[in-house]
Amino acid sequence: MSTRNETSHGIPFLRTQFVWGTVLSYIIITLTFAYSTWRYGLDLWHVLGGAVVVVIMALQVFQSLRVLETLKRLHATLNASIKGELHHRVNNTRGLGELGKVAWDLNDLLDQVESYFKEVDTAFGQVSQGNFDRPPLGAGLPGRMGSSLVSIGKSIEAMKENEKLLNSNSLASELHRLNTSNLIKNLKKTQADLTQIDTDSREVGSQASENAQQAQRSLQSVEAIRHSITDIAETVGQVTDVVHTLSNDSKQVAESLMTIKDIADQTNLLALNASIEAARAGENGRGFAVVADEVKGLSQRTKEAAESVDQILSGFSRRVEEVSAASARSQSVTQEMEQMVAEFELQFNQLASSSEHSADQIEGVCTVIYHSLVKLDHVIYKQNGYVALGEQDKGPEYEAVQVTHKGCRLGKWYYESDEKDLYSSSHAYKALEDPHARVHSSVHRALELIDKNWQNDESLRQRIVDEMRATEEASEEVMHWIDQMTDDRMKQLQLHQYQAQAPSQHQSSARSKPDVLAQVNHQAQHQHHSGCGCSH
Amino acid sequence: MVNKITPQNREVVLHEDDFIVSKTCTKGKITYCNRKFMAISGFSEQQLLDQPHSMIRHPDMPKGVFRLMWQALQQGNEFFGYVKNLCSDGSYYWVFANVTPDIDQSGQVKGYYSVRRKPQPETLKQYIIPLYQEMLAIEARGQGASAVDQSVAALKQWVDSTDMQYCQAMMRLYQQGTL
Repeated sequence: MSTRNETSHGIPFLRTQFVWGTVLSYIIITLTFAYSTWRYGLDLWHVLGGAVVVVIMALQVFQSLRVLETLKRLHATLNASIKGELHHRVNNTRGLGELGKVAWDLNDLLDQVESYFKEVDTAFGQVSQGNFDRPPLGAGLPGRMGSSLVSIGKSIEAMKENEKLLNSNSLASELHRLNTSNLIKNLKKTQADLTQIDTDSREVGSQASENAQQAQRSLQSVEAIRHSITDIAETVGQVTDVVHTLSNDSKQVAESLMTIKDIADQTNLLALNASIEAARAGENGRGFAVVADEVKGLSQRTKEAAESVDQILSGFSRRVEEVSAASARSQSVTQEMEQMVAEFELQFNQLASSSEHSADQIEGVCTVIYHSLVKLDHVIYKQNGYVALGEQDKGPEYEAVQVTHKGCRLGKWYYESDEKDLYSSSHAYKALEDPHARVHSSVHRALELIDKNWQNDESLRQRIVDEMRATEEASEEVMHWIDQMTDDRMKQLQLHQYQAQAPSQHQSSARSKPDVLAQVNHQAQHQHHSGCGCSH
Repeated sequence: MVNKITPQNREVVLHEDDFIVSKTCTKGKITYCNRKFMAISGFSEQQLLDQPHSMIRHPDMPKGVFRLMWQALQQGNEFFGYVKNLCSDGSYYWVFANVTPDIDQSGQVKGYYSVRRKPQPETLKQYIIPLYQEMLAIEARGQGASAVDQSVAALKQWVDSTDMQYCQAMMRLYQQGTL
């Protein structure tokens, strides 16, 4: 062989020995054959025998060359295996007997060794890529090889558990971090809202006490009015008495005048009788004395009647003065009363306007409170999402987050409540729908992913975190638009107050009291039913 | 070289530790088979060497499985699969095959190496045989290449329903007998 070997210096290789031996045998046979032909002549048996020997020798040479060739392949295969190429095999060894067996044994050995290394290689290759579900297969490999693969499989299983733990920690901590930062932000916002509510409530309180003071003042005015009205009633009563007396006096005057008329009549009749008697004067003068007595009596009665009329008339004129004084008093009382009523009306208007202000203020407070509740509900929804992601079993939190964006508190308020009409034209109201839907869909997707084998899949974990991040982003938008809606509503209410105050100055005199009362009542009802959503 | 073999409904069942090994060139022609292979299949080394490996393919095997196998191998990945093979006398035997590329020191693919082990009969009955029957039906309905595409699509759909990768699912079936 041309290649030098570390062993057997100077000792020829089998092939060389065989070639030299064969060549030598052929030369000896040829020489023997040549000698015997020369010595004994050409003989058929001789030739035949020689030919048989040559053929057998040729077969031997062929077989020996196959042996040598196979040995060479065995050598090459072993050599390649030593260098780490385990995929070479030696085949086509049929008929080579012991050598064939050696070749097959080598093949079997290489099958086992190659399988062993491939299994180990593949399994760890997959482990390095984060896949722990490809343990090495030991079946069919004998002895230590098989058991070694089984132990490697167990170690990989242990690595898998470890990795799962690490990953579950990493997911939990990432979600926790995401949650905590947002939770604090959300809580701070809620705190700010509550502070706002506190301030507003205090203002409502002071407003209410002002209302009470005003009402007290109104009450005092009403008391004064009541006194005035009593005075008027008394005065009017007095006037009635006076008039009644006057009427009686008039009757007496009329009776007196009748008496005077009777006297006049009787005097006339007497005068007639006197003239008749005068005609008869001559005969009997005594009759004049009787007539003179009667006339004298009559004149006496007439004098008395005239005195009586004089007395009556003077009484009458005194009473007329009394009436005049009473009516003057009643006029001044009426003026006083008018003034009081005007003042009362002004105060009542102020009260009405301030009640309206309170109503708006309270509605504003309710808006903030309800919006805060909606936001809190939203925060709780997210918290449930995080809890559901963190737990192994599907608990109540998991059930709670299955609700759609139309079924949660915010959704019901958005799609079903009466209040939606209040906002339907607002930009913030329209803008709220999309991010809110996204919050729910992202959480739902994250929960679908958690059902999968995320422990061994980095990309799945990343997707879960991404979905929750999307949830947080959408949630921030939701918060923003709810705040915007609150602001819009507050501005609307302030504008309403301003408008309500401006015309009330002019309209106050035109409005009648029941009108004002009705409006205050209406405000109160509006306030109660729909002004704040908290009641439903 | 080998005449068409008529399949018989007769199963040769492997032993627990049977370890069938064969190698092919990059074109899929057999370059090596171990003695267990020959003992079980009934073919001699001369009958097998230089023949396409598909010579022992049973007609009950859907083409889609081998399509998937070649896709995996060409991407340098290993392939797992349940395979029904044909013996020289028409009998059949089920194996759980693992095929990997043989790579030399320079990184070149020199051929493919297949190790086959005994599968669990329950797994075959419960999962593999129904799946293969479905794929075969699809292949029988369609025509040409698109039929195989559809069959591969059905296989992939089945894999997706397990929420695992194909090889992962096969490995799970082999090791745990269930998905």
